[in-house]
Amino acid sequence: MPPGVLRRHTWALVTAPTVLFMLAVFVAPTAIISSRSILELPEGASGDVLANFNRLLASDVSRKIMWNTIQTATIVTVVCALIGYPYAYLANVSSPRVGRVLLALVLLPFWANSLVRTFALDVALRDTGVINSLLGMLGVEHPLGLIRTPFAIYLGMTQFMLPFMILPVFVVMRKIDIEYTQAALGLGASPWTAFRRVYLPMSASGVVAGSIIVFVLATGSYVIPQILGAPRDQILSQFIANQVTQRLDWGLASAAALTLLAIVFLSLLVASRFVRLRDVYGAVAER
Amino acid sequence: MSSRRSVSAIVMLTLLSACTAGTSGSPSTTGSASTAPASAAPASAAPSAVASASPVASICTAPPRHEGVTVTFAGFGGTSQGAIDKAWLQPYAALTGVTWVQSEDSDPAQVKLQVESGNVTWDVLDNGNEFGLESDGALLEPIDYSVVDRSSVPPDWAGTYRIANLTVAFGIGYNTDKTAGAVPASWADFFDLGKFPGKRVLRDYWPLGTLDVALAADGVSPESIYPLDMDRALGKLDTIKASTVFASSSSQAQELLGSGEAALALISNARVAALKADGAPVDFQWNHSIVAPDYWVVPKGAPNKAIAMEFIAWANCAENNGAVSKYANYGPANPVATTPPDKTEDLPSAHIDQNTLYFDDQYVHDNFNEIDAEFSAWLTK
Repeated sequence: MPPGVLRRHTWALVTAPTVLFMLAVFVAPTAIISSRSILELPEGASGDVLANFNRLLASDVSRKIMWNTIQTATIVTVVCALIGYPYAYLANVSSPRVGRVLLALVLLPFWANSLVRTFALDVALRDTGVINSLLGMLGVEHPLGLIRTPFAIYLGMTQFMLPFMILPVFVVMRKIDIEYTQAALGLGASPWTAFRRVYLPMSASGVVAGSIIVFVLATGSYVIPQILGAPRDQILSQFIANQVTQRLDWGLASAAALTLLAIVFLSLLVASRFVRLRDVYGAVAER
Repeated sequence: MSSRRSVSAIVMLTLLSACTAGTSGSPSTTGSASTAPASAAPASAAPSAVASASPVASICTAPPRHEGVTVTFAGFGGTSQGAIDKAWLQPYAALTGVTWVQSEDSDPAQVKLQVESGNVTWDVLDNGNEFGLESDGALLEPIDYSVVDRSSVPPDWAGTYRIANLTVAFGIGYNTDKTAGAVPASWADFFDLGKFPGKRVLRDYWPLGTLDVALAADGVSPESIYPLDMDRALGKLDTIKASTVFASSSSQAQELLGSGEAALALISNARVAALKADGAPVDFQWNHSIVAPDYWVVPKGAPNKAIAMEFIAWANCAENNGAVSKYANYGPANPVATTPPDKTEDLPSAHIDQNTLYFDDQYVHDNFNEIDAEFSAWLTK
C-alpha cells in the first residue's frame, strides 16, 4: 500500500466525525424540511406539492415579512460596513498598543451572552428605560418611542454583528502594504484618489466577506427582532416560529425556512457577481 | 423508517428550540393549524348547573396504587405549575406511590413533535383552551370517560380529547402608579387613551382574547361577540394600535405591566395576583373579564395513559379540584368543588355575571384560517 493512500485513509478517519456531524445537523434537516414543505399540505391541497410555497407567495403578510427580512438585513449590513470599515482602518494604522485595545473592544462583547445584551438594550430603550428616564430628568419631552421600532432592531443587530464585519476587514487591511498608497501619493494622486483608487479596491474583499457574514446572520436572527421589534417589523424567522409553535403549520414553516435559505443563496449569487467569493474566503482563511 | 423518524425528531427539536427561544414560557402559546381557544361556554355555562356525584366515588379518596411508577406531567411553569404541583401532583403521589417527573414547556408543538417522532414521554398536560379540539385528535388520546367523570365540569368544558381542570379570568390588569389611582371599569376604558394614557398590552395571537375585548369595548354584548365581526374589531383596535404592545407570551405581558412599561394589560387574574404578591403596584378588574378553563390532555401513545386518566379523574373530584385555589388564584373547574373560604373573592367563580365573556372554541376552530389571515394582515400593516 503506497503511503499516500494510507495517509488519505487516516485523514478520512479524522474527518469522519465532522462529516457525520454536518450530515446530521445540516444535510438531513434540510432534506427533511424540504420534504415537509412539499408533503405536509394544508387541507384541500392534496397533490399540489407547491401549495405551501403558493400560500407563502400569495399572502400579503408573508410577502411583507420577506421584504422586511431583506430590508432589515441590507440596512444592518450597510450600517455595519460604514461603522466597521473606518474602525478597522483605525485599528490598523494605530500604534500596536492602541490597535490591540481597539480590537479588544470589538471582541469583549463576544464574551457577554447575546441574549443578555439584547435584554440590556430592551431595558435601555423602553419607555420607562434608561434613556427615557434620563430625558425625563433633564426635562426633555419623553418618552421617545425607541423600543418596538425598526430602529431598535437595527441597533440590536448592529451591536451584535459589528465584530463579524470588523474582523475580516481588519485582517484584509493588515495584508495591504501601505507603500502602495504612498506610491500613489508620490505619483501625484490626492489622498482621496489614493484611497479610492488603491486602498479601497484592495480592502474591498474584506468588506464583502464581512457583509456576507453579517447579511446571513441578520436574515436568520430571531431573538433580537423578537425582543426589540414590533409584530409589524417581524422577519421570516419569527414568522417560522409562529407557524411552528402557534399554528402547528409545519408545512408552511418549512416552505418559509427554504425561502429563507433561497434568499441567502441569492444574495451570495449577487455578491459573487461583484467579487470572486473564493478570493474573499481565501483572504480570510490565509490568516 | 423509525430511524428516519427519529432523525426528523432531532431536527425539528433543533428547529423548535431555536425558534421558541423568545416565545417559550407562555401559558398559552398555541393552537393547531385549525385551532381555537376556549370553551364554547355559552353565557349559561356559568358553572352552576353541573356536577353530580362521581360514578367512581372511590377514586376520589383512594385512587389505585401504582408503587414506583414514574409519570410525567407537563405544565406552563411558574404560578400555575407550582399550584398544580402542590394541589394535585404531590398529594396524588402520596396516595398512589407514583413519582412525578415535571416538564415546564407544555406546548402543542411539543406534543406534535413527540407523537410524530413516535417518542412520547409526556403522560398528562395542563394546556390552554386553544388546544384539544376535535381536530387535534391525531395528537391526543380520547379522555376515558369510564374512569373520568364527565359531569365533574360544565358540559362545554368536557370534550372528546380534553376536560377542564381549573379556571382563569382574563381581564384588565392595571398598574396603579400609571393610572394614578383611577380604576379602569370596562374594556371601553381600556381603549380610552384620553382617560388612561400610556401603553396597553394585548396578545399577538388573536385566539387569546384580543378581538373579543375589542368588540366588548365597542359595545357588543357578551352573547353577541361571536360570530366575530372582524371589521368592527379591527376598527376598534386601530384606535389604540400605536399605543399597544402585542405581547407574544403571558410572561411578557406580566413583565410589561409589573414594570410599569404598560399601564394596562389583558392578562389573567392569577398573574396579576402573583405580581401583586411580589409587591408590584398592580390590580385586576374582574368586570367583563373572559372566563376560560385550562384543560387536561393526554398525548397519543402516552406511556402511562391509564394512570393519567385515573389522575385526571381524581383531580377533578369535588373534594380535590378546589385545592388549586389554595396556592394561586385559579378557580376549580368543578363547580361544586370545595375552595378555601378566604379565597372566594379572589377566584373567577365569584365574579361570573351577565357581563362575563366566554370564548367560542368551535367557532374559532371552524373559522381559523380566514380570521388568522385578516388579523395577521392587520397586525403586520
